[in-house]
Amino acid sequence: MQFLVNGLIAGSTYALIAISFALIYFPTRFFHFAHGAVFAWGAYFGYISVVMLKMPLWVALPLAVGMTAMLGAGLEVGIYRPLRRRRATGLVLLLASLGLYVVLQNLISLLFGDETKSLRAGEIVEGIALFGSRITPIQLWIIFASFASFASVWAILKFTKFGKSLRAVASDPELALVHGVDSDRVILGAFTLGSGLAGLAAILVALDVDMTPTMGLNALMMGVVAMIVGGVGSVHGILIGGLLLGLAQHLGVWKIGSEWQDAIAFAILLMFVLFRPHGIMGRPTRKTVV
Amino acid sequence: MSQIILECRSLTKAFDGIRAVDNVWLAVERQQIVAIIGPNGAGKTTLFNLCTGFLRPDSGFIRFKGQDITRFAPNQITLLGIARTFQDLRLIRQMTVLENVLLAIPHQAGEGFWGAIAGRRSAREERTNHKQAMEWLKFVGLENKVSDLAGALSYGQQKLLGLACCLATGAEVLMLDEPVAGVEPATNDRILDYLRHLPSLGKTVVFIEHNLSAVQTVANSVVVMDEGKVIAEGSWEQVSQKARVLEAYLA
Amino acid sequence: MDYLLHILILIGIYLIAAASLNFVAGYTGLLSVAHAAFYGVGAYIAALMALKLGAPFWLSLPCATAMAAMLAAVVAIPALRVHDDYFVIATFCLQVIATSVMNNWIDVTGGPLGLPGIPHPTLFGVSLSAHWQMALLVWAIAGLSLWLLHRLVSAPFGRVLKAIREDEVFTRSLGKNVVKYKVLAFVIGAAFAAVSGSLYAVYMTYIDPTSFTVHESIFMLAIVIVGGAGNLWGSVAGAAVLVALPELLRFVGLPSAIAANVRQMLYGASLVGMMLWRPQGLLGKYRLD
Repeated sequence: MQFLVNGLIAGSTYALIAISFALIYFPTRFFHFAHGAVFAWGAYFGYISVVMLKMPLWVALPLAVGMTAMLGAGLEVGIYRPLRRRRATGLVLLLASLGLYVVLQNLISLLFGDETKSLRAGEIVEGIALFGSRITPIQLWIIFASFASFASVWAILKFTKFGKSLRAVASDPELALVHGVDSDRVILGAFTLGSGLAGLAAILVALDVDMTPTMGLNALMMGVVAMIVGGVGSVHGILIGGLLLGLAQHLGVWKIGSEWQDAIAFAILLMFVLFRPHGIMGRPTRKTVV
Repeated sequence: MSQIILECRSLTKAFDGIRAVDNVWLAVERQQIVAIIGPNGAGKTTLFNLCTGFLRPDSGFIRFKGQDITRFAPNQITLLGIARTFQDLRLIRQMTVLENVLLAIPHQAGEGFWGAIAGRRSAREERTNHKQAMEWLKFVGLENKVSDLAGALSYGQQKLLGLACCLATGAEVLMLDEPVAGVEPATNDRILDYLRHLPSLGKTVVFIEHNLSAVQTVANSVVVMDEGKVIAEGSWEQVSQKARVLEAYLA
Repeated sequence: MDYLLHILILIGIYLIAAASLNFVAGYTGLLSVAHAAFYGVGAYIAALMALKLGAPFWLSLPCATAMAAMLAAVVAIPALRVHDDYFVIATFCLQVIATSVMNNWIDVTGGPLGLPGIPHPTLFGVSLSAHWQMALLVWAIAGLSLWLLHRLVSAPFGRVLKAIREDEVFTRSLGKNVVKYKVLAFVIGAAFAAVSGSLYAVYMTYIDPTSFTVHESIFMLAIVIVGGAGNLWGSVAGAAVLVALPELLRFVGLPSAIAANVRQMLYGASLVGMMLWRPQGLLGKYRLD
């Protein structure tokens, strides 16, 4: 039973990371690998605010989220946009983002050290008993924040001008241009929103299980798994993908042991990539041949 | 030896419920020049893709020299003897004109792992292939552009290069998707001239075109397609009545 | 002097890995972040054969290479059916799974504690434990590897690979079995990665999973890109630059923990910088854009 709860918590986290990544991948169609580092920086911005500047959490959280959003936006304006101006291929952008990941992650190690850091005020909180398993308040917050974020993103995409522009750019950038959509601004908005959500996810994760400089890589890949499993174009698909991934992974952990949890997640992804790349909810994209 | 070198029977292919190719029957005789015409979306390129293995039909079959090739992969079909060009003019732009043609030559020892490492036989073969490639390049009049990058050629010259590559594969049937579209008049005439010449080299040509005067001057046989179906076939005179009707689409 | 030789040995080891990754990614266009996985397989097989079977290096090297090649063949065949973007992700999965196995299959790999005490190779009864001896061995093997790869890329075989990178559909239409070539390229790449890994194991005499992570794969990719994709000599230059230059940091007096991070930041930055200003790398002729 505990594994169900753990799976739900993990799944909500993965889903949140996944949607933060998908918001960026959707209109740009390249693998913004550095998102993993932006995620990690979110947690460390939180560390700066809470531990170093001693701000209360209700102030620190939005501040850190805002700074993470700005970091992501900065990467777009400073690196990716100039590359796109030069008509860089997806490969070039991917390689640049790999390099950016390495720089940003090592910067964390350099500035904060590699040891695990904690955002928590003090004692380990005993979980609330619920249906025969334990769940802590922060874990409840994770689930809540994840669902709330999904609802917000869904609403933004469906009802706001920004959301519609984003969908337009995602499906057909040239057509969107014809209709007067400024794709640069839309992409900047996507980076800002996506990075902010990543920051939120990171702080919540850090509050739950502490943080290390390399936390972002794993988180990113879990998010990618969730995104692919759920189906790239579908918001609720990504939510379902994240939850399924969390549950499947923790089922595996329960049966096989926790040291294999990464391998399990990636084996799941591998199966999807090889046999069902459009995910559970997505529709098979017709492989254009000629 | 049968006169029919390539035939399709009841060929059907649908995408999302729409039949791009609808129960097509086609019989191409040896050393003919067959033109396939019709409005955009008629299914002409889909038909090409089916015959050359880039798409699998939902039903029906394709026979080449009596052999069923319906489920064969594109590279197998090329090696058996059907080569093609593409509507969007595919070439290796970052390689030279000569390298593109050399690439097209089949059964090279140097293309295998051991052949590449061992080298001596491969080097000899490469020299022979070099000469052969030059022959084809001379045929299409590109012998002076041998060391130029394919990407640096003009559009018309690239089409000529595409033709040379097809010929270099040694295939008996050449399926050309819009061989003269978008090409300036002088090159247009050159290409048509070469096409006319091909049956005397033992080649059979099937081509898609919107340029009806090209069709008229070169094709022995015309197949008209619309909405996935063959709606007429025969000589240009027989078919041109119906073609007039379709011309409205072809502007 | 020994320190200089140490750098040269590392450059030699990395250039084999980089040149073979260049073969896969630069020439054939198969972007793989699993190269360090095969590098690791080579290292572990060579180490285990020496430690558990007492096998001499001239035997463990080909065995390690063969095993990596077989593993690559098994994963390549399904992985190469999928679209390019997904292929990268598939290789990422492989890499992480491989590292996970190295960490968790403790009975065989020693887990996070790794395998210590790997013997140096012996030649005619002489143990190659001196730096200059290892340097000669590594560079002899590196030279042979480069020669083999060079033969492959200069032959019509290489021409097909480059064509596949540019336009798979066109290449297929010219009668080439594209899947076969991609699998071959991937397997050859993995084999040489294993050679590199085996040399690493018998030089360092100790290996653990931290040397064979996705970060290492990215580092190798950086060498390929910085040196110039599509040019084997670029990988030599890239290896020299990315292995040697950061070592200069030692002389600047940075404490070693910080130096490690700064070194990584430098190669990350060089990757970004290359994309911004010189996508073809130092020696590349093939522009990535």
